[in-house]
Amino acid sequence: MIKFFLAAVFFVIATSLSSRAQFISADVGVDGLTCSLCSKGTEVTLKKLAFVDTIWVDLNDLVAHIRFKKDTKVSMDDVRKMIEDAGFTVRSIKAVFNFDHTTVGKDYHFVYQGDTYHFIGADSKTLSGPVTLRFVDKQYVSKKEFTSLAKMTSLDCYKKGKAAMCCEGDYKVTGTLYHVSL
Amino acid sequence: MIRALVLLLLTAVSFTARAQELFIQTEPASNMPAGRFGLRVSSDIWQDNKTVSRFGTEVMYGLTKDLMVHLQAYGSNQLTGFHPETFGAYVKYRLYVDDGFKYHFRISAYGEALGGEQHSMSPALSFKGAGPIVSGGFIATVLENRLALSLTVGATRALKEISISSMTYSNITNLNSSFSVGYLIYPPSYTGYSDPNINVYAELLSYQSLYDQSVDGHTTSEHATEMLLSLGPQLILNSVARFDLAYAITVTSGFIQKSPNSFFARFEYNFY
Repeated sequence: MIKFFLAAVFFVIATSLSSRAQFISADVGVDGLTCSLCSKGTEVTLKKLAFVDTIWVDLNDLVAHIRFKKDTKVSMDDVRKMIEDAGFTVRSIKAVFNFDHTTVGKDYHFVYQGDTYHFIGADSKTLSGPVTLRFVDKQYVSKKEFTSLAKMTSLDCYKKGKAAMCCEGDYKVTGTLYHVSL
Repeated sequence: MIRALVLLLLTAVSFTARAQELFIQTEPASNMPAGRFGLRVSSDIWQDNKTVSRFGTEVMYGLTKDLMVHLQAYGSNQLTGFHPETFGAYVKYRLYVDDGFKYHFRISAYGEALGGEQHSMSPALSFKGAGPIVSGGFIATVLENRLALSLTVGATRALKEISISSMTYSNITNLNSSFSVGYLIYPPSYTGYSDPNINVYAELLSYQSLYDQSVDGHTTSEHATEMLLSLGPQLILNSVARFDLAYAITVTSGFIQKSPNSFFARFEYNFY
């Protein structure tokens, strides 16, 4: 009986863990950084974000490795703003998201914790478990890549930026709109 | 286009090897992070019949990502005993930013006002804390990897005349400029924030002064130029504490009383 009870508890915990859709971590490339004194200022600034659990800035590659707290809303826009407040610019964002059987495809709009993640150039597939998402908004990719990615979507919101009204009809946007690719 | 010009400039001066932008004698175009503050204490020391020490304290604060302010106060034992001299504020506003991987180019505008009075030796007003003055200008700083270059151009207006013996200098306006080069020599690569950083700096400071000179009631309009070369190392510990040392040599001076060569030392702590 005890064994059965423990097995049931174990099953419930395992199921809840696997189905918890959330951001796990992010690698954020920072431009303009050149010295450890500046990096420290950036790291301390980012630590002030409520959803940041741990952070480590690689001083050679100038990438901030961030782990997020569980069950808290993660805002990549807040990460960007904090880095800009520290005096620098975000070069790239790659974030690991724990999916729970989410089927994505071309121009799929994934709504998570009130924000919208628009998949650019994604083939139709079901995502489960940790998947790396690359943020491909204009400021995070080269001009050449932006032009190439823009051809992969029929929606203007990618070219026009983050204005919520850009995605219309079947593609309603709530909260902040991010563009991501797999 | 601007970046191309900057890279061209970098290539042109690449013989100077590579450095960092926390310049000793001048301010870079970069600002402190918004909401953070730092504290500085500094001293100029030179010989003038006796050993003269001028002390400075500065509190620095990042108001926004683009605007920062320094509150500063100076004092010295130049006359009799230690006494306070000048006090005031320095503000810097970031006008242009171009960030890249281990690269940035920034342009800022600055303004400074100092009240009180410092005993000046000439209209060059070359010492930190010289005043009372108002000044303003522009700073352009480029940094690529370990090399930092910075150019400052500005104007300073003295708010009081300077009397030395029987001579009086009035209507003093300075056109000041500086060119600073810095190079990060240690560490060769980072392992963490506890790595000590060692930078070396060479800074050329130029003061072109326009002024009226009065002797025995006879006034003439004069101008003179002084150039100082400052060389020195910098040590940064734990990515928060900074120690600067420099020796400033008066290379040329058109003033009757040229500025003496001087040592400069500073400690800075950043509260993050």
